[in-house]
Amino acid sequence: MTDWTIFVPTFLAATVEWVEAFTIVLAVSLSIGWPRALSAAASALVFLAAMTVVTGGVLNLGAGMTALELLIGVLLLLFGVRWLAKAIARAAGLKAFHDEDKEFAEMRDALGHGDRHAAWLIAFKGVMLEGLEVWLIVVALGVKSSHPFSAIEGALAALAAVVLAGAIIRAPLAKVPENAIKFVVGAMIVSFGTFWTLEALSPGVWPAGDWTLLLLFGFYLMGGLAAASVLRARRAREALS
Amino acid sequence: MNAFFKILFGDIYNLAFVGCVVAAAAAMVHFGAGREAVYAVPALLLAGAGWFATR
Repeated sequence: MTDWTIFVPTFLAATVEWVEAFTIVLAVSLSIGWPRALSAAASALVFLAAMTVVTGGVLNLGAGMTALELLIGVLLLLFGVRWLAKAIARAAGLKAFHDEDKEFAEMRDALGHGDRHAAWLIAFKGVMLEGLEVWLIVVALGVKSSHPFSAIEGALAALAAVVLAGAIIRAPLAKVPENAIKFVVGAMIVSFGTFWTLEALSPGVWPAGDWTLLLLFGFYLMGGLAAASVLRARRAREALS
Repeated sequence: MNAFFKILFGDIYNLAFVGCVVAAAAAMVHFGAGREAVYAVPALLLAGAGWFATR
């Protein structure tokens, strides 16, 4: 059975990362061909899968421990605060939106001066680095869930969706609303992090129990949007004066 | 390896901020203010995310 509260954030977060990884692999494929580019991507994915199995297994040995709950809560906070901050900055116009077309063009330009071995490594490293964030979310959310495979299912479903869309479009997936997804995922990850951190420090502290996650998500999402709106207005005022 | 740690922990400011919030939450719980912490911690984290957005 799938735990949708784990599947959805993992699917959304993984989609953003796989889209960025796809852009890199696509650019590399035009330089060294699809078979080599795909072999680099596949090697990185195998490495990430092994990391997930090993770290997930090790953490599962301590599942249920308060220290583990605290560790995962803090890791999610470290990760989620950054995602939420980035999403607020982009929505407020303080940071440029991630442009897959521009990224693709820059990558193509850079690859024009490199050799085939370097291009393979770029594809491997690109998928690896983007995938590390997926690994972190899969392991952190999976270990705390009663259905640990829901996180893996979410990441794999996102990978399948991006590969399918990429195979059909054969261009960078620039139309994916990356910042909107980042806003939602950032709010979700910070919610999980807040919930588990305080639950580990003081079991049963949340008055609404598991339903608190929904309240926290609403708080961070609406609060983040409000913060973006305030920052955008302040920026407009500063531009006028 | 640097990229790995950066993905895991973010930069020093992010690490320090989250560390301070968790320490504050632990202190509140320790001194019997756990019920207040459930409101204070999310407010602090959202304020922090807003501040990081301006950096």
